[in-house]
Amino acid sequence: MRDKVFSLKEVYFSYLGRFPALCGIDAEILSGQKVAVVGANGSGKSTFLSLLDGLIFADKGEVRFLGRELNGRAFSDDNFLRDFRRKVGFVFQNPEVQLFCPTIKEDILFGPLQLGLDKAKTESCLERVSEMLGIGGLFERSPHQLSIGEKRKAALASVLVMDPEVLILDEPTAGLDPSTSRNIIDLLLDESSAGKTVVISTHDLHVVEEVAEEVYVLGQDRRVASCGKMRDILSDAALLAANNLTHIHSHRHGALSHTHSHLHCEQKGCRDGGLNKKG
Amino acid sequence: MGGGVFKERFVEHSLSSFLAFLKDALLSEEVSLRRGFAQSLDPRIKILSFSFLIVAVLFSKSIPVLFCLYSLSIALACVSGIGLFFFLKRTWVFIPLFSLFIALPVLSGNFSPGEKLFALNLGHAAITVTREGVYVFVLFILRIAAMVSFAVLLNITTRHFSLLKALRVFKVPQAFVMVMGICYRYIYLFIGIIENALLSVKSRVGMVRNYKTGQRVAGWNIASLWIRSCRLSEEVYAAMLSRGYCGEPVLEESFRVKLKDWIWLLFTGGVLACGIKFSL
Repeated sequence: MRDKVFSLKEVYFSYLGRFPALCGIDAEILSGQKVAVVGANGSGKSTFLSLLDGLIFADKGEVRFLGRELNGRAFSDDNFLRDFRRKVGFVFQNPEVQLFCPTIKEDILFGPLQLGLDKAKTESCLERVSEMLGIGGLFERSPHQLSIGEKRKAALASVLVMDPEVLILDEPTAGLDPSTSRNIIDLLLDESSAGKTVVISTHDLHVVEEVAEEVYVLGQDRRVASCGKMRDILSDAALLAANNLTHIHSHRHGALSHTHSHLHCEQKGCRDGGLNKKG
Repeated sequence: MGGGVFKERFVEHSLSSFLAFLKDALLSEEVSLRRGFAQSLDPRIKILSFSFLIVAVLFSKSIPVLFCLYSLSIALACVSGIGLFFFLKRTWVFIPLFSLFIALPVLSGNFSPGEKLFALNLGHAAITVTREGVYVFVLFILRIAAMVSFAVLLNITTRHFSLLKALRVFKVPQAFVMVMGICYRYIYLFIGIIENALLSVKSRVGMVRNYKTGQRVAGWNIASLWIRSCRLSEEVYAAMLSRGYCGEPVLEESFRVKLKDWIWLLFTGGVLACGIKFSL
């Protein structure tokens, strides 16, 4: 039986007390699980992940990590704080935010230095991560000299170097070229097969199909619209359409064009948009 | 017409030039990445030794000694792979030229009485230039030129963050060094945001038509940049917390002092000692 890493019960969160971001979320994430949080823009995915990483705390309800509630009091305990930060790594959506040091090497070593991790272990992790991501040549460069893909890899390295047990990634493949996306997906699969818990947020269903076994769909009402096994969620065309998650493709066949939704799994209720005469 | 166009594009030109200057002055690390003598020195030793040289210049009251020290700065530039023209442009354009104009009155006998060299006839008044005036003038300009040269050499031959990190030798708090490092890192991002904002205005309304509109656009930019920087600072802080930051930063120490560094430090220390001894 797998441990419950995170459990969320009736969680509410609003920004400045006025702008609701999450309205009664229930979720459970087990050890070693691969979880995707999907939803349209503004559905609260990033807020959900920030709650898991203890960067913000629930207004109402509770978020627990390995049975301990995540709140201000928990994080004022230095031992818990270090243990939590050691175990949980968060890759932000915007790598500019994560890479705040003047050189990439300083950025990657920031976490291990703050947590006082063993130097020899950090060195070997650094070597492994740089080889895995192919970023060894970027160490002495400044973040502003890198492409978005390189920045994303460096941001990922800055978390992987701490060898966390739980990896949380906010839209890890957004804005990347197909090859870099592929690298990152492969890396997440490797980390998952090494026993790590992986939680990602995305609205790219291709990524969900490859990475996740469990999916939470956040609706426009900022609640969990549905959750379940990846195949069940991705085959529910009505659910995906209701939550702005269907890929609509338009094709031309001579003078005729038609639209249809893109199939991820064998979707139930997937309807062709029909043929329209154009021009 | 030409003047009109220039006036209309004054704000745009000023902003672009300012941004280009910032990029060049703060972010160009081209020289510091070259292979050369000054680049090979340990940053901590470099700060100490260049401080010694600057203090030696400050104490020196002899023109030949100052000339030797200034020549040393030029020689250092040459062995550090810095083009002479580039170095002279960098060191003479601002401060020494400015000082030259400020120091001009000292040539006159009114400020420096002494042996008359020659007189300048300016129509209704004549200015007498004295030997003492010329001496003080040359001493002042040479001193400033030498000090600026050493300071510029230190700046352009060291990666800026290494320079910041090396400040810890002087017991500058780690938090200050880290904040400066973060500032340095994000300047480039903000320059990019300003440039893009200007381009987006240009793409929608063409060039800024007049001063007032230009000022308004600059005002919008400042306000928008302020809001963005506040948001970014919150996010960066969250990213730091997420990786275990607890308010007391721990930074990596990766400098190594070599024999060459010690010899250089000894040499500059000797120069300083001589400078002080001969000035007393």
